[in-house]
Amino acid sequence: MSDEAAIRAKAAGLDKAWAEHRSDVEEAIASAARIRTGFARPASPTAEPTPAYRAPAPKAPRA
Amino acid sequence: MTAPHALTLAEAAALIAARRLSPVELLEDCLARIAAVEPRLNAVIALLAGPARAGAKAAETEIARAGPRSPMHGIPVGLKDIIDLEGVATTCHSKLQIDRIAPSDAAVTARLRALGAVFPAKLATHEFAIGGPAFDLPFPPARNPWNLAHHPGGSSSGSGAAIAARYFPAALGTDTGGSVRHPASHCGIVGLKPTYGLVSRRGVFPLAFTLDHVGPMTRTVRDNAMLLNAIAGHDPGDPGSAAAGAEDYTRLLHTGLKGLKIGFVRHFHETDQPAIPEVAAALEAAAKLMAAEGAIIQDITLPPLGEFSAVNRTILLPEATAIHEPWLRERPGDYAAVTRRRLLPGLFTTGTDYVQAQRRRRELVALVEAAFDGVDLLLTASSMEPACRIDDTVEVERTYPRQARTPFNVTGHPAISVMCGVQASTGLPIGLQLVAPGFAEARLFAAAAGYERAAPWGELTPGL
Repeated sequence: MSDEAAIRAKAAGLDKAWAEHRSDVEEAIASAARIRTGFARPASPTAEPTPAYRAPAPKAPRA
Repeated sequence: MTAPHALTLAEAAALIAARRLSPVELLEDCLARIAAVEPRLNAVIALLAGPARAGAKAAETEIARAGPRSPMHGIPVGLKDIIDLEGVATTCHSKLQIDRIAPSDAAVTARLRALGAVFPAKLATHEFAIGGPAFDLPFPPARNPWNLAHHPGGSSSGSGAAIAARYFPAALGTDTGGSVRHPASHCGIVGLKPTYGLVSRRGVFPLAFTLDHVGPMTRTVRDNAMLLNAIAGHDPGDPGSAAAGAEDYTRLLHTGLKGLKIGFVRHFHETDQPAIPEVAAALEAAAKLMAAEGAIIQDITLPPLGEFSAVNRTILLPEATAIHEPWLRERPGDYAAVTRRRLLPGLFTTGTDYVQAQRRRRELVALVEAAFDGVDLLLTASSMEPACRIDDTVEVERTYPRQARTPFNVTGHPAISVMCGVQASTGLPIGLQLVAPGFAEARLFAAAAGYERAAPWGELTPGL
């Protein structure tokens, strides 16, 4: 776990936090893994996320 | 006669309009109250007596000449210290922002200023509206006016404590996972999370863009509606601002509960996160009182609390760490330990998980919308127990997530917390939550005011 955690911390740019607050980073990795199992994934492959992307509103023609 | 600092917003506004109370007299009494209580409460980050006195004097002069511009004219309003006030530091209760001077007013501050409000204080918060209560920050954490050994809830902790302690009649907080309603419940006041997009977030330090709301915090439901009147409305400078126009949110206050069909979401506090018996009993008593006032109460089932909470966190944390990434990388030791621990998981949440949570969010919104096909409002618990001791870090971590507020940050529906009881052993308040369909704040206020009139809790005050 610690080698893997070190790699993940480095990949996240957390070298300094890994050096100074290692237990916080290890707990964060574990916490993120726990949270991701806490909700159901939509059954429909076409389910859209919220908020839906919207294109910018039309612009008035240039004078 | 009631001391000016203890007047409600509605009472103070009426006296000012009748020229029986001067804004200067009101402010000076509020400042005296703050001076007497603040050393024990720690609700204030920055006292702004000088500018507030200038504002109150200007209001006094203008009102004497031409009458008040609005019910907010000359009213002192406290601001959670993540809301910008031009020329004043917005510290976010953090070493990382301690010197950042706001270049301009937040949209809500500007609206209040235009209506004549004065700003006596920037108020304590959890660090960046997420990390607290904490003792390793530049400012101490706010305490609960009902029992100073306990926390006041958060993250709008100073706003809740200040209103309950009668520092002034109105304050603004922000709510991303329940942060207006949490201190409202624990401090025995009224706190509203409006519909997402009804109140501008421009000039408010963000926690999570798709979940953040600015909300009014007051002692009465009427005051809350009056403060929402002042701050609601479309803002083209906020990308999440709704196009819906503001309205008079006081207009239905007299109608009360009669005929309203209310869905009681009992499983939130009975099985999902079991509440302590006193909270469960207070909710049952509140439902019974609402029924006696003419409401029709029926049980209703929503998805479990835990799923709303997981979706909230899977969205909130990556949105927050998108903002905090540079500091978490370069200055991790400058955060409070609790803030660092709460934020860091966001850097390990995958993009796929974030999008999955946003996809599930749309389904959860649809399920709550479907519930409103059969009822006018929802009734739920707010917290599952009153506030614990502020120095008991284990109990703080255990109890903070035991709440039913987060679902409505996920869905964006308006939700209000009002007091519904007192825990006998600690003297601490208990709150309930009412929820309405989007943009139905007037109906929400009507029901909350009907309950407030029928219940005895407004007569209680903290024994400071």
